[in-house]
Amino acid sequence: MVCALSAIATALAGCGAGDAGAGDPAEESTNPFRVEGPLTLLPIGEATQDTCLGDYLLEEGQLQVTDCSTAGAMPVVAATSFAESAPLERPSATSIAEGASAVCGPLIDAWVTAEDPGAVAVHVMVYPDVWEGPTTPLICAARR
Amino acid sequence: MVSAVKRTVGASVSVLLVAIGLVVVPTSTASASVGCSAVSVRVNSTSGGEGASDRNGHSHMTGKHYVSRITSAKMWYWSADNDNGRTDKWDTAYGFIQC
Repeated sequence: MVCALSAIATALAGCGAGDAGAGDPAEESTNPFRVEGPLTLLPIGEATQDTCLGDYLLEEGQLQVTDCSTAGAMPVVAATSFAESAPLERPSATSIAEGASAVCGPLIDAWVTAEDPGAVAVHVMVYPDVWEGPTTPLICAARR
Repeated sequence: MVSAVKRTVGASVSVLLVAIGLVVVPTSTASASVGCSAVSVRVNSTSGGEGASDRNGHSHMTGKHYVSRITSAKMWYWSADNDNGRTDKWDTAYGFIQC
């Protein structure tokens, strides 16, 4: 009985450290936008259209990039900045995200259409934690 | 002593059943669709709207939802796959969450 309870508890909460991962259901995944492959760090300002992201998150303030042949790699569509109309003072997180979408959305859609008409892609937008007004760097990438 | 152990086990079972309920019930509701985890789901399978594709999202009794935009500030934007299995209508924005 105790074993059964332990098995249930482990299945529910992943209590057994040694079991973590191997038997976890897929729903436990929290970052499906990270490739399985080696990642290297690259300053945001050095990204080009030849760069591919391996994760949508920054690490130590830098991009996590990977070889573009890696499954799930996210090609950089544009290395740009926020619109000139962006405020000097740091806006809310939601406003920043919407501002990023306003810039990246059309660029990513146009890139996807040119690459593969009819295809769809997740819009991936990366920017530093530090807000620098309209000149804040903005990386637009696509996850197909 | 044996009785005490039985009571303890019984209480543990009750707690676990409650835990099971807490885990299972939300995943069957649409409210769980705006979340911070996703698995591969097939959306727009039926003709009528967008072409079929595999996206990162969730499948629920109420339908499918998938991540359409994401930012490094961990803002996840979700879309609804308006596909009822007979007709697929164009997908619509569903909501967002900062993870």
